[in-house]
Amino acid sequence: MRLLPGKRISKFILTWISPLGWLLLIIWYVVNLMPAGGNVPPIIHGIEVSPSTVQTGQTASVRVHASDPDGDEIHYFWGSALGRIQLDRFQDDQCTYVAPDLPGVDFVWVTAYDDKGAEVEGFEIVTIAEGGTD
Amino acid sequence: MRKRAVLISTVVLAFILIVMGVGCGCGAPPGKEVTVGNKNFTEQYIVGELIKQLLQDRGFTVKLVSALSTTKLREGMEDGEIDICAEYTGTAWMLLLAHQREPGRDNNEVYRLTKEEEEGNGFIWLNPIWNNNTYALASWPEFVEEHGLQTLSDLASLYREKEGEIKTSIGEEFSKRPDGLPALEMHYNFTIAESHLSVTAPPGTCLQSLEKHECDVAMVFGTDAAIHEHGWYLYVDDKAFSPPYDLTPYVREEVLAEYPEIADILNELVGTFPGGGEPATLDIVAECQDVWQELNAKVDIDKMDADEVAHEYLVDKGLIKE
Repeated sequence: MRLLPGKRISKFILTWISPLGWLLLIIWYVVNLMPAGGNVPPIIHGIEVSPSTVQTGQTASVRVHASDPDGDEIHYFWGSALGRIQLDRFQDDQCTYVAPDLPGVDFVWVTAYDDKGAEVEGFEIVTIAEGGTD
Repeated sequence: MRKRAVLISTVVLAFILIVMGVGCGCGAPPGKEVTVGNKNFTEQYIVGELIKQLLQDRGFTVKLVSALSTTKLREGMEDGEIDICAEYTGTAWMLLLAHQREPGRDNNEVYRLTKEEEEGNGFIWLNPIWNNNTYALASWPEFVEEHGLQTLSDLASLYREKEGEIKTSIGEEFSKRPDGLPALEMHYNFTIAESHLSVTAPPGTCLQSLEKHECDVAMVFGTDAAIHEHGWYLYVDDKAFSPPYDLTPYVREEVLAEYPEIADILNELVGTFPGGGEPATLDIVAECQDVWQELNAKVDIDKMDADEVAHEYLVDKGLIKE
């Protein structure tokens, strides 16, 4: 039976490209995205810095919003290139950033990791303006 | 005759309406209702119950919103959904008010500064419970007695004398924190030899390590139940390295204006703990930590419910009747 050109293309896609495409997609996911052991790392949804411009030597509150697709408990490890990080004894999804004594641009980074060791990093820029004392 | 009947009916009807009005609460003075919040760990469950049960005993209707994170609890206080909670001075000063940590500031100073600043935010901080639930180091009493130790300065001298070769176990988080082990070593001028330092990942592992005598010194928190259970010795932080974390009830200003008696009621509760209402000293903090280690142990080790522990405490201190 002769098929019209459009139908031939559809049949070709359904017969070859579609299954092949799916197969390749699955292989690519398994190789590149699926974490070992099936544990998925946490996801960082955002990092809030308040205020986002802070005077030299002054502080800002920083909070990360994250979730874990597997429902694992998330822990955080904070750092900063130039400033100082203060952590609370009880809660680690929030910290206090202490700006250095020189104006410029700094960044605060956070590693969110779950109990099984899967981790993800995120960062946020902080602008340091001249003139503060604490 | 008909007029008389109408008059009687009107009086009866008015009477019924008044009774119904009282019955449904319409027009009656509202009851004293407050909402108490607490966080999601043992000590907070207990303090939330202490506040709730005491206020209930004094005629308040209390709703307890339990197991919140620090952030959610603060948001609740700011939004007016929660009226009363107990927060730690160190958390308030360094995290909620975002002030810089300054080693050397003692319990009294951090409490005073926090209380003053919080008044401007519409929160009234009442008297503190000096239980200082902060990072600390502990040992078995035999080790402490053998070397004649009392304070972290004494322990630092021993580390120096033994060139850091004392088996020590700390949590991974404490090893990484900017105010963790390296800062402690610098503050007290000692170094732990790498060969004798064990950094453990899962929470509580260093406590198990001390329990099994696999180390001589371990990192603990000031009011950990395990300290009470095993009779461990908690080194006195004589150079105020760790930020103080003293559990302090605070109330929204509007709520206190409406029910000023809450301040006296909760200060009476605080007054039952060592040094309640008085300035902190190292001895008072140590005694207060003992009391809270024991309260926490009743929940964490004896498996009592936090509300039972709170009830037992309040009855024992004569604040409420059995």
